[in-house]
Amino acid sequence: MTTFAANWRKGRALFVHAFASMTEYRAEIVIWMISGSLPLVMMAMWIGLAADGPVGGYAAADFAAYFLVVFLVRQLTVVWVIWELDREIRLGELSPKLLRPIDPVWGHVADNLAEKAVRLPLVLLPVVAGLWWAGARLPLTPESLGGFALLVVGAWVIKFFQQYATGLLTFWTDQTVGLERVWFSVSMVLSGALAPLDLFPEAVRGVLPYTPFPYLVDVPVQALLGRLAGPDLLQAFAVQGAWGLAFFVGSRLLWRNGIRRYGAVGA
Amino acid sequence: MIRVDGLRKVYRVHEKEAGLRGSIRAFIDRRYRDVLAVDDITFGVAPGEIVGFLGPNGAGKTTTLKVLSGLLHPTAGAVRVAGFEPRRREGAFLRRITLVMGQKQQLSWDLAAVDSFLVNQAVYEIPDAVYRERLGELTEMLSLDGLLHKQVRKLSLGERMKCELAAALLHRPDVLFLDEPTIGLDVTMQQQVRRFIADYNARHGATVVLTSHYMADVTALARRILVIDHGRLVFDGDLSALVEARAPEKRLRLVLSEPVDRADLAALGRVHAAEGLEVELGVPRADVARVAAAALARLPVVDVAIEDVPVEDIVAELFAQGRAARAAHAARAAHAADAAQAVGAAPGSPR
Repeated sequence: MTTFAANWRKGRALFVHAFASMTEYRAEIVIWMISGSLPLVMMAMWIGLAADGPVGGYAAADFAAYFLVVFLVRQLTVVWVIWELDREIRLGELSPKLLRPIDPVWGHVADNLAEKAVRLPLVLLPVVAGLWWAGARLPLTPESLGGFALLVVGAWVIKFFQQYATGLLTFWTDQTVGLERVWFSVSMVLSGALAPLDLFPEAVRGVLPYTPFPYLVDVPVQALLGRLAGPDLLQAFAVQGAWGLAFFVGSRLLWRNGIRRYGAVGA
Repeated sequence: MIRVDGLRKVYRVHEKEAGLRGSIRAFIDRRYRDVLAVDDITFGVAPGEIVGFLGPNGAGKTTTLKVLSGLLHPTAGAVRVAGFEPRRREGAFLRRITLVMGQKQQLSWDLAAVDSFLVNQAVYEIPDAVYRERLGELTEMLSLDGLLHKQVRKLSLGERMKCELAAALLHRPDVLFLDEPTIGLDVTMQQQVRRFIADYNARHGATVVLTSHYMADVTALARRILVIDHGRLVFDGDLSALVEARAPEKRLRLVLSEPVDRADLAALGRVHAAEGLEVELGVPRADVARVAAAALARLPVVDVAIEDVPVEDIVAELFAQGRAARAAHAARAAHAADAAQAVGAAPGSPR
């Protein structure tokens, strides 16, 4: 068996296993989905503010389209791996995974993708219905759809490896979940999940493109809405890719150093 | 197959006093303490050998197994298993070993055991035909029929343990580390697991290192035992050698038809117990036959039995000696410190 064929089989087996587990938790996935509905609340608020005329160039229908796509992006990039790592490292549940000749990160990736496969149909339906109801018109060109798809994958990569890296800090401290809370609060505001970044003050808008935050929500959303195209789209890929790579490399370094400190408690 | 030289493992643990005050203090000024879990252990295990680790809780048995299987990095010392350095966790190494922990599981709780087996098949790159053959063999050896397709959480503890063993052995490792593999199981299931381990060792020539609280596990499987106490290896050798070294006498149990003088009993051997008509004497191994004959000739004996001292008693005695030695050492050290303080120079003081 070639290395590629063997790796393909491993990936498929992990995915099938994760998918089987996720389907055991259908109801839980719906509940988590509902818990991510803050963008819809923000949508209602902004639509209300835009009732008497556009706010910062956004009419009521524009806000509807923006926040429905924000909801979609956030649903497709939900990551919870920090809670898993925090528990596995503190309680020694990492041990069985360390005994297998495959890096534990791939099991987590498979869990995440399988959960997305279960979640996607559940999410698409209300988003499409909402966009139709709001009368929002998306360009739906190959560029906007393809750009959106790649940017969503990129956003997921940043979130996943950022959380993975933070979770690995459990090897050194038991405050990682608190750190994640700080990151979460900052990123809610600076990613565009609460308000479109166009509405932010000039000074903030100047700095944001150099941080990873806009690439988590605002940038993919703008791509689907057709407001990000051509060279700007390519530049977004490049910067997002660089952040994804940085968090990936960071998490690998933390893993290599942290695993020496693992205590394998219990049993 | 296994070579351990001067292994040491130190854990750093943070200490907290009980209660609210302790919590606040720990929050502001966290204190750490180093715990020496394994202290300079050296031993080797030959291919195909079954070795049992004995020791009280916290003695360092499990820590040693975790170092041998690559989960923990040793603080000092050299460890080689099947030609590899375990802490590097190379794929080729992990494919040759397994670690079964009675209190930790690898099977997914919500799925059937066979779902987890399929992941292992892919991860360990086991071809389909080989997988089917091995699964068949394990199903037969462990009587897994009807268990593999049930949700794992619906299995009994014993059934789950058997499935765990199968999952851990699908890749047919030739070094098995078993940490309390029978913990919590009923006697029949313990025997089944024991028989399976012996079978697997015989069929595949696998090297087995196991720890257990149940002396029966160790005596049934291992000819050689390692006794570990407070992180130190206090005995390494044949089980029978331990019994001979530690229990130079055998027990002669007599049931008498009428009471006899204690002096008559003492003339034969050390009197361990003499209650009513039942008597227990300690007799040097070499003299057992002669003393038994003498007892039958001189005393009104109804029944006689010659027994070994139970292994449990021997090991308990070994640990008790260790504790006594440490207590004496600590007392001497405290005494020396007092004496030094009396003349104004505490040891370890910077002045």
